[in-house]
Amino acid sequence: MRILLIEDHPIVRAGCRRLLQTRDDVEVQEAATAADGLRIVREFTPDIIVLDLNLPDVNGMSLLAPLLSAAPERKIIVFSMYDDPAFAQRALESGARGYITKNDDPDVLLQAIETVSGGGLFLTASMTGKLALMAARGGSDPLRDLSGREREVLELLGDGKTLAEIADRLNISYRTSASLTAQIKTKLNITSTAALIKWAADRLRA
Amino acid sequence: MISGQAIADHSIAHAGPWPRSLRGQLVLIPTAALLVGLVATVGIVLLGARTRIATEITSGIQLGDELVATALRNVANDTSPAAAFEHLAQELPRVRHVQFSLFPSDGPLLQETKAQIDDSSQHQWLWLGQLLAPPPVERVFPVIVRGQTAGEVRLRSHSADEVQEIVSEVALFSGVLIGLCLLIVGALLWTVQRSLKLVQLLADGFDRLEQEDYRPIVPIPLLELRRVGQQFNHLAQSLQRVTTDNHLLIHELISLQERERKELAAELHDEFGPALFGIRAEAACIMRAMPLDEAPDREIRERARSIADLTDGIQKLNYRMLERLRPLVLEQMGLCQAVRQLAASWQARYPNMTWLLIIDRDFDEPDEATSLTLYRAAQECVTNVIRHAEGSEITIRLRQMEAERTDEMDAASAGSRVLLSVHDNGKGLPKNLRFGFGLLGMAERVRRHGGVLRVRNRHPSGAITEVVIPKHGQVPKGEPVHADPAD
Repeated sequence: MRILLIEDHPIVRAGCRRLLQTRDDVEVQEAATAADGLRIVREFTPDIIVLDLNLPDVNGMSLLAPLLSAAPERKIIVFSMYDDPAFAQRALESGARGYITKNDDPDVLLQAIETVSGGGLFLTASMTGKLALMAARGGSDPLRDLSGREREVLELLGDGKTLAEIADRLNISYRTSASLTAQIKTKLNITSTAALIKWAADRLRA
Repeated sequence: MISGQAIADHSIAHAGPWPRSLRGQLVLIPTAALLVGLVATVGIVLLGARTRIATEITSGIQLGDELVATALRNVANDTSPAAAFEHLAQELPRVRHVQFSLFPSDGPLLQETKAQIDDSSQHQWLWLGQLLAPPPVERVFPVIVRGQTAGEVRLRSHSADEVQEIVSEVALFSGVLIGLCLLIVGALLWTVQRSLKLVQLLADGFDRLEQEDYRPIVPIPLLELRRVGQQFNHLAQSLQRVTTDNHLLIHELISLQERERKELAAELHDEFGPALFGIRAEAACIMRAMPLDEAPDREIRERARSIADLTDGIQKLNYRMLERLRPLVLEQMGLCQAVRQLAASWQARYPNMTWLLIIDRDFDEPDEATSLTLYRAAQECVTNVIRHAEGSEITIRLRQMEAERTDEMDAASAGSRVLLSVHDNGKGLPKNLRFGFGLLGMAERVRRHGGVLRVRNRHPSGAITEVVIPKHGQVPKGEPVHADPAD
């Protein structure tokens, strides 16, 4: 198994190399910069790339696409300092097969390599939990499901405007403003229009 | 600009006795003096009037007596009573205050010399005449022609014309005095008006000082106030210097803090982080190299495990410090994600509070410096709410406002702006809010971006902090004011 390590810090590279060498079947190459990484990847054709996000020349996140474009079946494990689930989410969305951090137990690196080489996705248990929480809470934005129009209507309701005034202001028909209000109520799980107006006035009015 | 600072101490203006109006006093005092003068003059004239009228009447009657006696002597030898009366009518002239009447014994009233003013024609002054004039005197002289009584001449005193004279004098005095009074008051008012305009100029200047507008006022064209004007300008200048120094100082402090944080964060991220990972990797390798279940393998493996655990603790601490110093998310993922994470991490610590995060759907990430300022502002606001507000719900909002000018708080910038607001449903701001270093620092950061920070109470409960920053750079201040105090 050929593994390319793209990581700018020599101590981390040394640590990873030692860990990886505990397996007999791996061949490791290293790159300290994104440029080096892109060059080596062409000659070395690794099966797995361990990619740091914090590279001196370029953001590692933007390196995912060029690394994958030549060989989409290549497996990339993002290896970063960032504990935030948003990073993991973006890395996975950009095509990474695993996301681990330097604060995790180093053995996790070996587990991740094991998992992704077998075709799986790898996340630590704590990161999986955080991602699930983030999805459930949606970053606490109660308006996340509302369209731009619905948000406008809600703001105007909070300002004390009537449906007719809202229709006039937004240049829509009265029926449309009423149905938008109904949709908002459904999305926010609020039953009455009065409660919706109070909700908006309490939260949106400056 | 920093609205929270100007809340207190307006009560001082209303303390003390009722304020006196300079203008009122300047009108009242000379008017009162002139009125007193007027009353005194009229009084003196009227007091002297009785004696004056009596004297005049007496001398008029004396003169009349003599004139009648002379005339009677002259007609004593006339040929007929008719001729004598004709003669008398020519002889008796007009005399002030005296009326002659000729009564022939065989006929009606022949002639009456008219008094200058008839008593009966001066109804409006009659009461004054009655008050001042002595009772009328009437004398009767028999007309004797060639030893025969032919009739009589009656002489009667008249005070009306003297009264009229006195009344005219009083009227003239009063007229002149009132005219003078009006003239003086008018002149005073005009002067005061002009001077007060200059004082108003100063007052406006102080108002501007409060708004951090330090432009000098124009030289005051009034000798007594000129020095005050100069002092004002000196004051404004030093105040501006102090304020500028203050801003500079706060800015320096913040930049220094930010720089140090950045350097420290870089060290923690680039040196500590990898080194700690290195230690854990080595420990992991040791554990792998010591697989056996008996000493010394087990002992070594356990020590290596301890090293790994200790290092894990330091790594977690390192990460928390990094987050506090310079949020990695902000740098890598932008403001929205950073604020989301901020809310999420606080929510984890205060799960009983409702944390709402509302971000405009089309919110564009601002540049790095603006993002950092807004992020720090959000951090500061949230910290303040947690520390002081005692609320149960907190709402963080990120909005962007396009080119329309809907808000009076930054009339200076009409371009597109980023708005951060944090509000809660807690107990609101304290009565005398003084900005602590946190808020001051935040205000200064915002000011540096040409933005505005506003802290106020919110209806029906809680407080709101709003930060508005123009998207593109700073807005220059206006030109100096050239006010003309003379108009």
